[in-house]
Order: sequence, then C-alpha cells, then structure tokens
Amino acid sequence: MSSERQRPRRLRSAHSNLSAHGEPWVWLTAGSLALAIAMITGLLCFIAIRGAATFWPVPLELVELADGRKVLGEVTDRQMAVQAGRETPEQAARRLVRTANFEFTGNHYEWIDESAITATTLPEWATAVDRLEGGRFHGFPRRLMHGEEVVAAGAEGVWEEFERIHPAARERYRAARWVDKHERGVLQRRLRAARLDVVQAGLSSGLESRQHTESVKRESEVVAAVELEEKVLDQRTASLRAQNAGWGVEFETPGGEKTILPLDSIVRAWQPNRLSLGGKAQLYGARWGEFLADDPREANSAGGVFPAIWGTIAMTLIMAVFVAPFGVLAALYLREYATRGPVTAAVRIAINNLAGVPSIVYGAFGLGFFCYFLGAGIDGVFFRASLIADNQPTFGTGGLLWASLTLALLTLPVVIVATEEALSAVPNSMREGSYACGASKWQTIRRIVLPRALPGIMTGLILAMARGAGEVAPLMLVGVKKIALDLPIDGTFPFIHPEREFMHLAYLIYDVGFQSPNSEAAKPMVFTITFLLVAIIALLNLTAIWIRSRLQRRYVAQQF
Amino acid sequence: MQSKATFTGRSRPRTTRSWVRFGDGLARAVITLGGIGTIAAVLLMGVFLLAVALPLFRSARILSQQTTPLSTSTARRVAALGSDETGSVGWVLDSTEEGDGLLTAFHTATGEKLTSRPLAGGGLAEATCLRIVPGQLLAAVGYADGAFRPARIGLESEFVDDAALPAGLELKPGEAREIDGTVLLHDESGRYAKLRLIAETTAEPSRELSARVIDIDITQLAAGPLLAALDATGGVRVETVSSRRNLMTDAVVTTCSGATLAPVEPEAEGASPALFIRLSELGDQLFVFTASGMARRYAIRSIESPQLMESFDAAPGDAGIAMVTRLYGGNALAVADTSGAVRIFYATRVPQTRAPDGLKMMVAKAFAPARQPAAITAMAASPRSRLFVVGDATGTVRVLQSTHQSTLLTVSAVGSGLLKGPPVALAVSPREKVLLAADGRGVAGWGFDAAYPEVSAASLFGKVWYETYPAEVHAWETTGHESFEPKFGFMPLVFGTIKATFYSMAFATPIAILAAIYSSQFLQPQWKSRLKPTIEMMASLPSVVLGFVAGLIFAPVVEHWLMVVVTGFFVIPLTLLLGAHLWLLMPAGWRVGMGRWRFLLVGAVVLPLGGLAALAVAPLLERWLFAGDLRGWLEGRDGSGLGGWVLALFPLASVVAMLFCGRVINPWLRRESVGWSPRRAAIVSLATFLAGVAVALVIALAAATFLDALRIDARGGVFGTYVQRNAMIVAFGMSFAIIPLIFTIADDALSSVPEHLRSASLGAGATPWQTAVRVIMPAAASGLFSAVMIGLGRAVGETMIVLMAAGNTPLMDWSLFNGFQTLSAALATELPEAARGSAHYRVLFLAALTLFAMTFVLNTVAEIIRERFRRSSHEL
Repeated sequence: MSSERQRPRRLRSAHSNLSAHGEPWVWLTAGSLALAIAMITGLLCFIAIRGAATFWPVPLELVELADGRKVLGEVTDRQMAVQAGRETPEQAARRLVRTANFEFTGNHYEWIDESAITATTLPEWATAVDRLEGGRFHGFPRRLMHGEEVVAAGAEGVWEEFERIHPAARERYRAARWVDKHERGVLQRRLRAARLDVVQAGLSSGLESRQHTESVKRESEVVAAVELEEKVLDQRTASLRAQNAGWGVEFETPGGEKTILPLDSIVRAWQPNRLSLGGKAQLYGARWGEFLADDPREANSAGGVFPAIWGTIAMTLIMAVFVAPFGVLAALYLREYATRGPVTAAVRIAINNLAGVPSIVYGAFGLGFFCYFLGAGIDGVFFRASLIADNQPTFGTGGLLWASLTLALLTLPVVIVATEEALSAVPNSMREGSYACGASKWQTIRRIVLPRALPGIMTGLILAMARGAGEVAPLMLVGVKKIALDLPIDGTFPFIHPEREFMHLAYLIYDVGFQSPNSEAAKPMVFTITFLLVAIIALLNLTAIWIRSRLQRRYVAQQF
Repeated sequence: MQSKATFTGRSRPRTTRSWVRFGDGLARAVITLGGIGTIAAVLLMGVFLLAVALPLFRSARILSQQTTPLSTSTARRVAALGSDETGSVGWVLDSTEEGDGLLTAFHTATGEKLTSRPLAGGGLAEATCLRIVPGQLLAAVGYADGAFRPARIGLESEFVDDAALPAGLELKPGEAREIDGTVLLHDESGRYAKLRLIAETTAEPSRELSARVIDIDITQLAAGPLLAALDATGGVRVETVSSRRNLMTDAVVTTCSGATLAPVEPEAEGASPALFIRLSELGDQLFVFTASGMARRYAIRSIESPQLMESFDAAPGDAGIAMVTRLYGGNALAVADTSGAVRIFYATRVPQTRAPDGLKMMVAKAFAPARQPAAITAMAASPRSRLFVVGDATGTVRVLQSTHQSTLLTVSAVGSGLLKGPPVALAVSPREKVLLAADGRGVAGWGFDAAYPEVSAASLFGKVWYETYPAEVHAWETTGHESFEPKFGFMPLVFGTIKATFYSMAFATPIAILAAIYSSQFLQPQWKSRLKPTIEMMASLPSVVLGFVAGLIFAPVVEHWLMVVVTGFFVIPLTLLLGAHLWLLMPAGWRVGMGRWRFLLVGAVVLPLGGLAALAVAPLLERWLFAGDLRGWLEGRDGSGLGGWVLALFPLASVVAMLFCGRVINPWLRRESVGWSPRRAAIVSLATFLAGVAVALVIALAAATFLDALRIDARGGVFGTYVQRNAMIVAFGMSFAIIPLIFTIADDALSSVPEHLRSASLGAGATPWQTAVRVIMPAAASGLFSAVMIGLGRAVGETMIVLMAAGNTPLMDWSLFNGFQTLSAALATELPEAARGSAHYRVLFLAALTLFAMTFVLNTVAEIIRERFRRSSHEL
C-alpha cells in the first residue's frame, strides 16, 4: 500500500491496479465485523437455547452396556473424543449421560463410549424424580408404601395412587415448612428483640434502674408467651408431619437396587417417555414456575431462585431511588447553575472517568467506607445492644442498604452523563422563551427543561439499573450472600430491612457455577439463571432504547 | 428586570412574587449544594482509598516508656520475662543467688507491681536452666543432675462476666488491679479478664542425662510437648511426652519416647563444646550449636532415631555465638554472635546439598551490629510474627523484622536511664504493643506501635527471600499454611493485570478497529443501523455471564479443540484474504451487482468456511509441527521447539512478506500490468498472494530451524504447559466486554470525520480503501486512540471474567496457556476475609487505589485526546 507513493503519474487505468482497491483488506475488516456479530449473536442464542431448554423434559434412555451394566438417564452431550494412545489417535463417539442416583452410582453424570453400548431403549415407566435432597433420582416405580403396608403395586397402579395423594402430601410438607421458617422466625425475632431491650436498658439507664427491671420482666413475659405459641406450632407441625410419615414410593433403579423415597421428599416426578407434548409443556411450565417462585434447594443448584430475583429487584430499586435525585441534582448543577470554566470542564472529565473506574474499586470503597466506617458508627450509636449481646454487627457488615449505596455511586456517573446530555438537548430557545415570559430560573427548569429532558433522564436511569442489576464484583464485598432466605423486603414490620444480607441473580451465577460442589449437575441451573438475568437486562436496555427513540421523535415534531 | 426604563419608553411596574423568588433561591441552594456534594462524594472515593492505604507506610514509634524496679538492694537473676495477651500486664521470674525465686506481675503502662508469688515447691526453684515459649504458658526446666521436665509459667487469662465482678469495682480501660492474689484487667476492648500467675511443672522429670543441663528447648506438638536438652558433657536428649485419653476407661495414658545422642568428639567440632540446643517450631529439626559457631542439624521426624543432616557454620568470622532464638513459624532461627551481628537461618530446599533430606541451612538475612560492635546479651521473638528483639552489651534494644531485614526501632535502655545495665531478658507482647527488657535490677517497658512491619514499598515491589523459597522471589500469598510469613508482593498481581490486559487487547483491538472501519466506511447504512445496536448490546452483558461462559463453557471446549483454535488464528484471516482474491476473479459487472451482498457473503459463507478450513488443517498442522500432540508438546514431551517457533514467527514472516510485496512486487506489477485485462490482473494478484503466503511460511520455517538449532525453545515464553483456565480464555471472554466499547467509540470517531474530506478524496480519484486508510483514519487517529485507551481502562479493572476464567494463581510468566491472578480478582476474593485494619486489608486497599489510579490516568488521557480530536475535527 505504501508503495503507491511512487506510482508513475501517467498510469490512469484503475482496473489494472488492484492493490489500490485493497479488496483483501476490506474483506478482512468485513470479516472482523462479521466475527464480532457472530460472537454476540452466538453467545445470546447459546444462552437462550441452553437456558430455555433446562426445564424441558428429556427422554430417559435405558442404556445397556457390554459389561452387563444398565444405566438410566438423560443424554446431555455427545462428543467425538480422541482416544489416548499416541501412535494411532482414533476417533471414538461417546455420550454424556445424566445417570442421577448419586447414592448408588457415586456420580451424577457419566461418559459412556458408544462402542460399549449394546442396546438403548426408552422404557415407558422410567421415572425422573426431583428430590429435596440428594439430587435427581431415576428409576422405575414398584410399590407405594405406607409403613409396612403396600398401598399399590405395579407401575401403573402406583402412579395413579401417587398422583392422587402426592399433591396433598406436598401441601402438608410446605405448610409445616412455612411454620418452621416463618412463624418460628417471627417468634425468634420477638425473643431477640426482648433480650436486646434488656441489654439496651442496662446500657442506657444502668443495671439497677427501673427501666432495666421492667425490661427484664417484659422479657420473661415474652419468653412465656413465645413458649406457649411454640407449643401450638409444635403441635401443628407434628400433626402435619405425622400425616406424611410412613408414606413412600419404592423405586427400583436400573441396577436393581430398591429404595423407598418418602412421599413428601419428592418435589416432582414424571415419566418423560410417557408424556405427550401437552404434558411436557405443562411440566415445563410447572418447573419454570418453581424456578421463579420457590426457594433454592441443595446449595442453590436446584429449586427456585425467588429470593435472588427478589434481592436483585429490591437492590436495583433502592439503588435507583438513591441515584436518581443525586444524579439529576449534580447534572442540573453542572449544566444549569455552575459557571462554565476550566473547573466544570475538569469535573466533567472526572465524572466521565469515574464511569471507567473498575467496579471492584467501588466495592472496596463500599466495604471500607459504608460497612466499616459508617455502619460501624451507626452500630456504635444505635445498635450497641446487639453488638454487645450477640457480638453481631447490624449495619457494620454488608447489607442491602450498603450494596444499594455502593451501586448507586457506581452508576451515578452514568446518570449524570445521561442527564447532562438530555438537558443540553433541550433547545436554548425554549429556555429563553420561558425567561422572556417572566419565569424565574427554577420555574423554567421545573416547567420547561425537566419535562423535556425527562425521557433522557429515564433512559440514563434505566441504563444505570441495567448496569446495576448485572454488576456483581462490588456486591461480593458489600452484602450479597450465598444463601439468605430472609428477604430484605418482606411482610414483617418495618417491611424494608436495609441491614439484611440478600441474594442476587448475578452472584448466583458465580456461586452456583464456580463454588458448587457438583458443577456439572448445577450447569443447567446456571444457564437458566443466566438466561433470566440476560433477559432482565436486555428488557431494561430495550426499554431505554425505546424511550430514546420516542424522545427523538418528539423532538423532531416539536422543533421551533 | 426591575429597571424602569424600557426601550418602548413605557415603564411597567413588575414585581416577582416572593414565593417565586423564595422557590428560586431554595432551588438554587439545594441544587448547588446537592450537586457539589454529590460530585465531591464521588471524587472523595480516591481520597478514602488513599487514607486507608497510607498507614501501611507509617514507621514504627515508641509511645511510652517506664521502668519497674525489681529490688532496691541486690541484683537479682532474671530467668524469664513475658506478658499477657494484651501486653497490659507483664510478668518477670527472678531469683537471688540463693535461689528464692519470685514470679511478679506488674502493670506495663505504669510500672506498678501488682502481685507476686514465690516459686518454692513444685520443682521450679531448683532449676538451673529455663526456657519459655513466648506467647504460650509453655516452658521447660533443666536441673543440675541432668533431669529436665516441661512446665507452665506465665499469666493465665480468663474472661470474667460483668456480673461476676466484685461490687463497686470500676476500672478504666487498660487499668489492672490485684484482687486476692490474682490480677483483674479491664482490657482495651472493654472486657474484664482475670489473670492468674502460673508457675508449675507439668510432668515427671526425664532422667536420661547425667550431667548438669546447660540448655533446653521445648515446642508444643499436637500430641504433646517435645523437649530437647543438652548437658555439660555435650550429651543431647530429645523426648516427646504424649498423653492420650483412653475412650473406654477414661484413663490418661502418657507415653514417653525419645533418643539420646552421644556427645560429638570435640576434634570434629573445632575443639569447642556444644552450648545451645534448639528445636524447630514444627518439631522436625533439632539444632545443636557450639560456642565457636559450628552447628549440627538433625532431622527428628522419627523421634527414636535422630539423623544428622548437616553441619554448618552459624557464625562466620571470628566472633562466637552469643544467643540463638527460634522465630515464629517454620524452622527459622536467629543466631546472634558476640560482635553484635544477627543472622537469620532457614533450612531451604536447594539442589546442591549433601543432606539426605535435600535441605540446607542458609544465611537468609543478616543484621549488622547496632552502632558499635557489642555482644548480644538477650534476644526474644514475637509469638505472632517474624518480629524479634535483641539487646546488646551497650544497653541498646532493637526491634527487628526478619522477613524484610528491617530495623523497626532502636532504643537505648541504659542511655535513657530505664535500665542500669545491659538487658538479660527481653519480651514482646503477643499483640506487639509492648516491649519489655530486664536487667538484674529492674524491668523497662516500652509501649510501641510496630505499624505494619510486614509491608514496605520495597517488599511490595521488590523481591524478598521468604522461608522455604530457595531464593528471592516476587510472591503473593496471604493465606494458607505459610501464613506465619505473609507474602505481600504486589508484582505477581500487577503482572497478572498487565498480562490479562495485554492478551485481551491483542485479541480485541484489531477486531474492534477493523470492524469499525468496515461499518463506518463500507457498510450500507440500512445494515449499519441494525448491526451497530447489536454490538452495543454486547456491552451491556454482565461480566459475570461472560466469565461463566468463558470459564465453564468455553474453557473445556478450547481445551478439547486446542489445535483447531490455534490454527483458526492463522487460517481464518488467510481464508478471508483468499476469498477476496477469488472474488476479484469474477467479472467486474457481477462484482458490482453483488456488491450489496458482500458483507453477507463474508459473514455467512467465507467466515464459516474459514472455520471449516481450520478444522481440516488443524490435524495436519499438529502432525507436522507438534508430532501429532500439541498438548504433549506444550508440556515438553517433545524435544524440538520448532513447531512453536513456526507458529510464533509466522505472523512476523507474513508482515515481512507483505512489506516485500508492497515495496517491490506491487510497483513492478503496476508497471508491467498496463493494458492487462482485469481478469489477468486478478489472476496475477492471486498468484502473488499465494506466493506471499508460501514465502512467509518458508521464512518462518527457516527462522524457526535456526532458533531451534541454537537450542532456544519456544516453550517457557509465550508457550507453556496448558492449563484449562488461561490467558487465551480470558482474552476471549474479555473481548466480549472490550470489543463493543472500542467499536462504538472508534465507529463514532470514523463516522464523524467531515464528509467533505471523504468527498474530496474520492473526487480526486482515490478508491474507497485509499480514502479510508489515507484520509479518514489519520483524521480520526486520536479518536481511535482514545477508543483503545478506554478499552484498556476496562480491561485493567475487569473482575468477574478474570476471576472465573484466569485460574487465580499468582504466577509470573507470559505463557498464553497459563493462568494468573489480577489485582481485581485478589480484591474480590480476599477483601471479604481480610480483618479490618490489618496489613492484608490495607494492602488490598492499596491494590484498589492502584486500579483506581491506573484507570483514572488511562481515562483522563483518553478523554483529553478525544476532546482534542473533537476540536480538530471541528476545524477541518
């Protein structure tokens, strides 16, 4: 290309000089663009397909191996593997089978060489069972038991009976669990509050004071009341559990082992090979329902992610509540009030820069400043009782409030920049018109500028929320927990619990994908969570884009 | 507004209503205050990070000093000195020549004596030799008749509930008082503790030695204490006492096992008898020192049969040994000689050693004498870190740190009048707040602040010799089994950050910039309006998703298809170039007609074809270059470095071939091709291209053969053993985050070059490609540069992707196939566990500050350049 400098001037023929067109290099640039597009669409499609497919029931194949072993499972992957053996590397097909039955097989997945397989069948009564503990179970139903008594035998009979009684058993199980988790939790909190009152009274008015003796008395009353209520709850749960006790389904694994699964520990059971398309769709819907609305099970690798969805929403909303007014104030100041000069230019550059500061730095700041400095200060003044009695910080550790504030700081530059742009997009003629009509500066801003800039501000805010919802590095430092079933916003007074630690979808991806003891079995779950998160963020982004395009249209119509 | 005269000549009385004015003022105040406050709050972040990190570099200082007299009349023999956990209460064990030992507790802040108890009875008073383990109650005593036994000496502490306190007792924090022979202490954290003076022997004496015990040592092992004693004849006895409770009968069974070592012939030891004996803290090594400085090391892992490992000179030079002290953790010893020098010895694994266990005692650090050479008279180690104190004959006490070979504090005990003579015993409180020194007449105490001795600028960025390492290294290791010597070397993390950034940028920048060139110069607008938002969408993908995909999905796939991926880097661009040449072979009319579909053709046909070609070529290439097994080659199973060199040199050779083509072939062709048909020109061009590739290959092969003949291996540099999570995976994952960023800004910069420049260039007869390269790109250069800088800023600070895809091993090598750890990943994993205010915590904040500063500088540079670009393009 550089040689063209020496081109003799008399040559005018373009077609003879192909290197001037640089066609190969243009192709290289086109290839780069195509690669970038392929990467993003490929990634999104991959996540969408894998994420959406997780809950679709897959046929259970009964694979008979040459050594006489039988394996029942879902085929999750097929691969051409290069066999070891360096002289003659040969291709061999193999499949990854989700064998489940961890207690018998010792693993959840198994690679099986195609060459070792003698037969593959799809038995009608092959059943997949989602259990509360121990992972998936695959087997054939044999008998339905109540204690020693056989209620039903034979796959069909068992199943008919199972479908009749299982929902009620699950309902009883859930009711008992609700009592254990929520109603007992309320009692525990009452006890703790009373105990802390005693400590607080001792701290503020001394051990010998009237307040202290009164609070001690109150505490004993509370203890007595709670004991009474505990007894009532005990009776309720005991009766619920007694009704479920003894019921179980006996399954036979393909290997011939027999095991009885307690009825109430079966979350869901289905025979994928028997299901019609409608049945599959129904099951698919039900499993999505569980995923969206239930608590996680088995170290987050099964069950639902409701607390995480809730935590993400709560954190993002509170963050938006913080970031919106401050971001708008700062932008208003910069654009409308501050005198233009090198200082404002420097501040603007600094704010642009802050958008590029790594999120983990915000996390470190949040931990050091909010949790350890502000939080510890608040604890020292208002929550000394808890600090002394339980040696447990209230605000002095990560929590919803600090996480929201940290992310608000992180997204503040986004909102400031977007708001500034929106403000500067309001034509000056409109401001001048308003002044000419005698409006004051604030009146102009409130009535003329802000309404016109609102869509732009909203766009910035939504983009900030999209960023906040997907950010996880700072949250790891300021309050996200692996498991936190106490929701940060719930029905107990005072409804919002800013000090509670919470779960977060993005953190769940990291946690389930990387910290889970059985990452292969957790992978489908991670895909679904990823799918959900990407969908939420894409939705937020699309909303922002939609608002932006509406805003642009409005301006075209309203130009002076 | 209030002026009466208007240009129409009419005056109109106008007043602003007061609430409007009030509202305006209020709004101005709120907005100004809120705006400035918000901006200040955000900017304060850097200040806060600095404020947390800065105390790291504080130097140690003395806070207070006082002295406690032991006896006014006669000098007493001080046998041991120590303090409680907090350092508020000290204890001293002293006796007169007649042996009436006394254990005294005193308040270290005021020097006031609190309580004391005589030693009579219990077998301690008769002891001739005593060794205490600092920070524990553990001690060992030896007797004149050769007997020795473990003991417990010191202050036993136990927290007291507020309710159990004597009525009416109110102590200020840090204050202590004697109550019924015990000491009640109100510690700094606000809790009360009861301290009891303990002095008792805990087991029957061992009587294996017959002569007077002259030195003894003890260490606590999981099963029980391990003792070693040396008698006046040079005989050595090691013994372990383990007690096991029988679960059935509840009876305690005590078993004693040990070995006696006969005295070594004096001739072999330079004619001086053994004087000191020391055990390593782990109880696997035994050291015996003679006065002249010769030392022997025994392995006593099997206690019944100690094995002599090596002899070494512990005091090189003329001086003899004055003192030997075990340092906290590991098997480091501090050996002080009579000239005042102190040397730290480690047993280090070195290749050239005669010892059967492969270890060799090495002088790792050496401290020069304080001011003038004077024999060391006392030495004590801190029970919590590699801090230790030495006192010499001039009465100077120094606080030293062995890891970084630094002198933290130097105080003159005699000069300041706190002591009458040189110190004979020293102690550091477990929390390293109080330093005690005793001579025969009194105990001097200093309250001191050690600051953060384990960290200094030199140790953060320089190499440090840590125990168990054979030489000085950059190391980052803050947790794990060797936490007795935390390794805060920043370099591996900084290196990891740079490595991640470098490889990610090397992968992402070309793609992003080239894509931006195409989309801004060649892509039809209706395509662009759809494709650009798609790429921007990529920017909003959460990094945890990218990390998950890269680390868990992509990593195993790449591991499986490694050769295909490596081949793809070469084959796909070549396929694109080849495709373009074939495209030129088509009649010009067709080309113009199909011009609209060019991008689709490239994206949907040629690119996949390139992938297939890589798939097809990979096995051939693997067989040819790497004997059919790339992974094996990377692990070093094949001797020849040829294949790697060919791969590494091929891009370089291509550039050479390209330059040759551009400088020589093309001008020549241009002269020759006058009047050729387009078809002929295209065929010649294709032939040139193919020849160019062949030439490049030949050059690469020749250079590789040459390098291989010189026995320079490609492995160890960019290539190395394949680890599943590595720099290549990170580069791929990170490219999802960086490409859209660079692409968007670069595309904006290229598109905003004024249209008249482009029109003028095209009008002057330049082809679109020439216009793009010679006119548009120079005009947008600063915009492109700022795009790259902003991408760089993102790559430097990216956390989740490197956390999930880089393997988090703080290594320092450039291998594309090895893992690393970045500053951000270290922050994310370690900060939640670092104790607030600890050195670890502050070092991590320093990491945060470094990241903050790095990105701030990068972004500011980018922003300033972008501003300049905006101005200059405005002027064009």
